[in-house]
Amino acid sequence: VQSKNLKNIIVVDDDRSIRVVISTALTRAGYNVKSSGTAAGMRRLVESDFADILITDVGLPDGDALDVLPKLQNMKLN
Amino acid sequence: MIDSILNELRTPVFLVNMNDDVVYINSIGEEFFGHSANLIIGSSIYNLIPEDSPVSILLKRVRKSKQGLTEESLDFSNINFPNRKVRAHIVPLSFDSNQIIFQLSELTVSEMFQSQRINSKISKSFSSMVDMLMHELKNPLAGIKGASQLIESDLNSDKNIKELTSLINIESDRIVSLLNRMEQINNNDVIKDQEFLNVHEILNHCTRVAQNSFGSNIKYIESFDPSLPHIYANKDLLIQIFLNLLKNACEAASNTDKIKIKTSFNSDKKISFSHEEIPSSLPLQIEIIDYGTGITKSLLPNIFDPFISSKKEGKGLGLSIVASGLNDMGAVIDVMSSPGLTNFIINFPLKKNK
Repeated sequence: VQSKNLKNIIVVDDDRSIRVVISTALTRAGYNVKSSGTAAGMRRLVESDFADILITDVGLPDGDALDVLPKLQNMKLN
Repeated sequence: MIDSILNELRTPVFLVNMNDDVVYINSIGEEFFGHSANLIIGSSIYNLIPEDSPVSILLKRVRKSKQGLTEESLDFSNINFPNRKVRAHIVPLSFDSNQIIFQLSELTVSEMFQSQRINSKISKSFSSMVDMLMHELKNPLAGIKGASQLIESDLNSDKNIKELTSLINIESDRIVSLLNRMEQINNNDVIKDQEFLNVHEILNHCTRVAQNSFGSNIKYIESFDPSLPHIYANKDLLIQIFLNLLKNACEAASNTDKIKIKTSFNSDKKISFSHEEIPSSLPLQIEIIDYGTGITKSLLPNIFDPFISSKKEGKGLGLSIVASGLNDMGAVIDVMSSPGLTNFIINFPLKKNK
C-alpha cells in the first residue's frame, strides 16, 4: 500500500559506477529503482510498465537513447 | 677580407660543396659545433648533424631550384648540445649553385614554442589525447565521488569513516580541477571575446588580487609607460595569465619581498612565423620581474611545456596555460633567468583601435 505513494524510477547508464551511485541515492531517498546499462534493457524496463520516471544517459553501447525514446513515447511513461 | 667579415658575424656560417663536404666555417660556427675548423673542413656535413636530419633533402631542393630557403626549427643536436633547434637559411652561391651557404640563428624560447605549436603534429595528437582523457576520466571520478558522498551521508557511519570519505571527495575534486585546467589548455575557443584593453588597469587589478591573497607580503614596483596603446586580448584569459605569472613570481620572490611590473613600447621585438615572409612586430611589452633564485638552466628551454615544473607540488600546467593562451591571442612570452633575476617578457602585437 505504501509503495503506491512511492515513485518508480528507471536509471539507465552504461557506466556502472554512475548507475550504482544514482540508484543507491534514489533508493535511499525512498524511490523504487530499476536500472540497466543498455538501450535494450531500457526498452525492456519501460515496456514492463514499471516506471513513472526515466533517467537515462544519451550514448549507450547498443544505441542512442534519443533514438529509442520516440518509439517508447506511446507507452504509459509519465 | 671576406674571411674576417664572416668571422665577425655573430651567427654560425658554413659552406658546403657539391659533395656535401664542408669547405668553409666561420669561428662562431666552430663554437657552435664544438669542433675546430681543421676538423670540420673537408669532412661531410652529415658528420655534424643528427642521422634523421632533413638536411640532405633540403640541399637537394636548393640545388634543384637554385633558390635559397629558410627552415625554421632545424635539429642541430649533438652530444654536447642536446635538443638544439635553430633557424637555418640555406642559400646557393650565386656563381655556383652546387655550393651552398648555411647561416644558422638560434631560436629564443618563445620562438621554439611558436615553431613547436605551428609545426608540430604532436601537439595535435596531444590535444586529442587530452580530449579523450577528459571524457574517460570524468565519469569514473563522478562515480567515486558519488559513492563516497553516499557513504558520508549514511547516518550510521562513524566519525573516522566520514574523515576518510571527505578525503576521497577532496582528492577527487582536485583531479577534476586538474582535468579542467588541462581542458583550458586545449580549448581554442577563448579567443572569440577579444577587446581593446588598457593593460595597466588589468595589471592593477591583478596586483590587488595578489595583495589580498597569495602575495600579501610582497612589494609591487610598477614601472608603467602611460602612453602604451591598448592591447587586443581576451580580458579573463589575460587576468588569468597575469595572476599565474604573479603567483609564480611571488613564490620565487619569497625571500626578497619585491616584484617589478614593467610596461614599455619595444619596437625591436619581431618574430617571424614560418609561413610569413615579413617578421611580425610585437611592440607592446609587459615584463614581470622577480629577484629570486632563478630558474634552473636545464629547465629553462622547456619551461613552457606542459608538466614541466620546479615546484615540489607543481603540476607544470601554469606556464603552459600562460604560453598557449598568449599564443592564441597572437602574443608571445619569453623568459630570461639568472640567479637573482627572472624576467618573464610578454609581447603583444599593435592593433589598430577603430
